[in-house]
Amino acid sequence: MTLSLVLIEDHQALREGLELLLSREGLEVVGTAGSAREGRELVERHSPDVALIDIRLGEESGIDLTRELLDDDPERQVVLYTGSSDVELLISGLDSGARGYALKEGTPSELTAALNTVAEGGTYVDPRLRPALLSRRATQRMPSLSKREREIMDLLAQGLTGEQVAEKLVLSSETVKTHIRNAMSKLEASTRVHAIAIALREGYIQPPASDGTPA
Amino acid sequence: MSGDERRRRLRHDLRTPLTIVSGFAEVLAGERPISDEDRREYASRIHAAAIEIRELVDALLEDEELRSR
Repeated sequence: MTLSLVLIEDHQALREGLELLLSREGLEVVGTAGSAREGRELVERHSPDVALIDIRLGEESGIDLTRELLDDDPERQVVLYTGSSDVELLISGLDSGARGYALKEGTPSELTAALNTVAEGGTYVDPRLRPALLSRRATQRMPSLSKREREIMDLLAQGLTGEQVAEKLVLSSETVKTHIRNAMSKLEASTRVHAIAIALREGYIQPPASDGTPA
Repeated sequence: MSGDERRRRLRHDLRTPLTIVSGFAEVLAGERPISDEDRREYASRIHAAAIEIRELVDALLEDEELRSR
């Protein structure tokens, strides 16, 4: 099956070049955008197998766009694309929920492999970045919860069930389950209760007041 | 924008047209057949990216020169 792709890159020549190169590699580029707003609209309209997003979109952030897209639908697959091998940026990018991180210095065939891997549910980090990823600095930092994950953990801490959280936030139960699963994974928790305890300890959420409302 | 930020951005921006050059060069150097029309198209994109790289390098050098004064 042909992989469908939305490409979000602010540099026009690179955007057009990538469209040509990736089409030649057999991918179906269903839309291209030069800004976060246009990109978001395209992803919502086309629901591509994967979105390739430049980390820097002019003055906008591709990492913020990734967070927004995944807050709305955690099943979306995103590969971040960057010219920078900065460790902090890499960690922020992976914290945003992106499943792939590709460098601009990679070849078109490497980029195609990254997109295919992520579209199939895997993860990809450019091999040039692995030493940085395995550095102590990188591994010591706990990935932060997204706004939506914090919101859901907060409601769970107040005693709501997953179903009630879904109803309150007007989300599907499956979406809420995915957010909870992602939060548990980030917090390295084995159960929901464990995740709530860690989220409280790390200050991601506030302890509920005695009447059940957040403090 | 501070001088440091400008230089950091210029260095970062250099990678973008370099990606175009290496990407299309890889295709041109590969073994898969390319039509004459595509070959011209890819070569013109490499040419445009090379001009952009030259402008960025000039800007970086100018910046370094101003800094050293």
